[in-house]
Amino acid sequence: MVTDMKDVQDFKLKPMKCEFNFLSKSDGSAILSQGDTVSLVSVNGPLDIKMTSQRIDKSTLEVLFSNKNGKPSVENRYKENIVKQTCEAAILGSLYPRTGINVTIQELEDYGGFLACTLNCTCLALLNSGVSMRNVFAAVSCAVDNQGNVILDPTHAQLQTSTATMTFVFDSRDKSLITCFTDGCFSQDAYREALERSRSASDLVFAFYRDIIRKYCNVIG
Amino acid sequence: MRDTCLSNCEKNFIQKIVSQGHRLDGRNFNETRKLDISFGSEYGCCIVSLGETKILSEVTCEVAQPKQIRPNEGIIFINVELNPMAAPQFEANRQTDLTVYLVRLLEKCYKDSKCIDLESLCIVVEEKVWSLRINIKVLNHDGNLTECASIATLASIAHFRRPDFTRDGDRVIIHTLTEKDPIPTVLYHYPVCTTFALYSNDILLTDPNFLEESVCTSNTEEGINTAGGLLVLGMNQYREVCLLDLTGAAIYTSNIVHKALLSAADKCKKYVEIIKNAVAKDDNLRQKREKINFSDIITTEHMLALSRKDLNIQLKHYDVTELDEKDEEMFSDEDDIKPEPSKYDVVATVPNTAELKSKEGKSEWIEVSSDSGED
Repeated sequence: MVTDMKDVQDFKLKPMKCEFNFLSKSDGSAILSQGDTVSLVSVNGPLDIKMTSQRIDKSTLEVLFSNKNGKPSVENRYKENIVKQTCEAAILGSLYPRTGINVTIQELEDYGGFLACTLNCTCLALLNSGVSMRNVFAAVSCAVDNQGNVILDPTHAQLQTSTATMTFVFDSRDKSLITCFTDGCFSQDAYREALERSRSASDLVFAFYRDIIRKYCNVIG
Repeated sequence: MRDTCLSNCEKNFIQKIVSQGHRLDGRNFNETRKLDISFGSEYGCCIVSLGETKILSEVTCEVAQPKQIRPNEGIIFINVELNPMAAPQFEANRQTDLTVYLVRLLEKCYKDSKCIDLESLCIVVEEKVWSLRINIKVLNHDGNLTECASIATLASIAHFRRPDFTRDGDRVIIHTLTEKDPIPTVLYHYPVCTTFALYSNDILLTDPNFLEESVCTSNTEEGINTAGGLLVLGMNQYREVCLLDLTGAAIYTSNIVHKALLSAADKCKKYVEIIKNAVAKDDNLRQKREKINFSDIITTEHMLALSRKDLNIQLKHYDVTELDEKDEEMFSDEDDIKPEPSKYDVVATVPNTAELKSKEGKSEWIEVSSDSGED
């Protein structure tokens, strides 16, 4: 099911706020809020790592995720993996062989769509750190409510009654899907609709990136 | 990543300017960096920033079994985490000496000083008590972690509220936040830690930054440095000492500790007031049902990281914020700038050169002739 371009104009995401260089000791850092969800990401690299984890053809990406209460959990490891695979597709690792790039993520507030917020924040932090990238990426979250309707960028209250949540990540070049993470039960049609709506909505995220980088470059340039 | 080592130039320079009465960021010896406390949407969660040092602190509670020797007291658990976000040299999920040191200092300051009423955390004697877990996470390490972590701990304990419960025979019903108003923690007194960097055994630097901290504890070219160290003092608002810790230096007079105590007492009192005010203000906003969220800390302030605002080396009489407002005019109209008092003077010596000399009188404009000029 392909959505009309007319509908696309009406798409709204939760308001986004971002700040670069929130942390002075990291090579790049960003704090991003999407509605009430806030995440903080720091990027260090390319840097010297121990011999055993060095790779001769590309840089090693290490992702560390910690939630607010600080207890390690399987869920955290899973999120680390999603972020790692997404970033590996975007970073030009072959430019920095035998080095490591560290991405550290800190959850500050989770009111729905946290994974999407984290991925967007990671992308901004990578841009801020100056690591070479093939393309940037944007994540959009969706939910399916109990009537089977697709809700774009759901709020905390909407998530309580939803049956499934999905997070899609698109690249900036040809808007192809690079990561998809789903949770719960949904129909094939709902999935396709959510995919197309998120794809169109990712334009808004890319526009936000461009806007913030333009402001930032004005300051440093 | 390996620890970045400190160069001899840095060490010597810092030692030299400190002995001459200056600090690299233009502060006075007893001046602290800017303190900022912001609370999150949940109770007991805050980010404290002291200059560029940033710490996230969260208090959570759960029902646990009490210790056998203290059957009617609650349990407090303090955990400090230093991951690569703080600085690249730290490794993830590994205990270092620094984390152990910080945990011990905070335990001394908040558990051993008995500032928290543990008996009020009891639910059923010998069976159920509240166990408070204080989780300190260093986001950015720019020196003086102790002071920042202790302010963060105190602010989050003072802000924290645990759920209310009712006892119905043998059953204990714990109410959610919407059912019954949560209860704040009872604090008998408010202890705060402050750090002083000791230089050549007689100079005390309040709130040292990362460089000052590492220079005073590092060895000099001549050998082991016994004259510099870090002095941590924990005091409450009644000027009572709760903690005293000295690392590095071998002090040979007690005068320096007395001097530090006097200055720490005022500082701690000031901090406690700031924390109490911040908690009261936050409580007021919450009662008015205003939304408080960490997204409020996002400003455009740091976007200017590479422009002059975040300059961390400052001349003593040079106020960056003052100049920022008239940014445009500054370049076009140089007369607008107030002449800043300087200790040095530029004096014309041989043709085409000028030299810095110790100031004798009032500064004046000089003219250095140039061949490629108008003639």
